[in-house]
Amino acid sequence: MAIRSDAAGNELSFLLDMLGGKGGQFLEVGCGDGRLTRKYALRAARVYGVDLPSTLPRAGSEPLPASVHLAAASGVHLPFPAGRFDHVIFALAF
Amino acid sequence: MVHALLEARRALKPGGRLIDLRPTMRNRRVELELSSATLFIGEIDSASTFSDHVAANAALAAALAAGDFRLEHQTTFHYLSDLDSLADLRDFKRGLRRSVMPESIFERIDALTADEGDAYLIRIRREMLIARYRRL
Repeated sequence: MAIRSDAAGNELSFLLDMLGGKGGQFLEVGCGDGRLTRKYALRAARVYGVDLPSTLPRAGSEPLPASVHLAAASGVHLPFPAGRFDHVIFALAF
Repeated sequence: MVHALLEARRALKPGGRLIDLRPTMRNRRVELELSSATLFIGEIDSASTFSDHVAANAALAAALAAGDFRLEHQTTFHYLSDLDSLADLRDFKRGLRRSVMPESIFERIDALTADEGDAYLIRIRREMLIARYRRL
C-alpha cells in the first residue's frame, strides 16, 4: 500500500516544459523534503533549496543528488548574493 | 510573498526566470476508479487556504506592475495522487494541514468497493498553476 504522488508525471512534465531544457544554477523556495527537487536536479548544474527546518529531509532519508543542497532559510531573507541564480522556483503549498 | 518576490528578484541574474508552481483555488477532487467506471466521490475542502492564494496573486500582480518581472507563460495541469486503499486515504488525510476531507468520502468509497476486492484505485486530483516569469 502506498500513496503515489504525481502518478501521471504531470508535475515534472510541465516543469521541464517551462524550463525549456535550460540548465544552470537553481534555487527552490519551499523545497520541503526535496520531493520536487529530485525530479529536475539532474538537469541542473546545481540546486539550492530552502524551507522551514521542520520540512527539510530527516536523517536517514533517501539521499539527494550530489548537486542538491537543502538548507533552513527564509524566502524573505535568502542567504545568497545578488544575481546568483539562473532560475528560482517557488514551489509553494498552502 | 511580496518580500519573497523581491528576494527572488535580487537572487536572480538579469533575465533569469522565476517559476511559480502552486495549487489553484479549486478543491481537490476524490475519484474512485473501478473496473467498470470512474466515479466522482467528493471534494477536499481547501477554502481555508484561499486567502493565501489571493495574497500570492496580489503580490505577483504588484511585481508585474512594478516592472520587476514579465509573465512569459502560464498554464494549469492536474497533479494526481493514486492510492490503493482506504488505509492509504487515511494516511493522506493525516497529512492535510488546513484542508478538510469529510468522512462521507470514506463511507462512500467503502460502500462502493465492498465487492471489488483489490480491483480499485483512489485518485486525488488537484489543479496546479505553473507560470514562468522573466526577471527584468
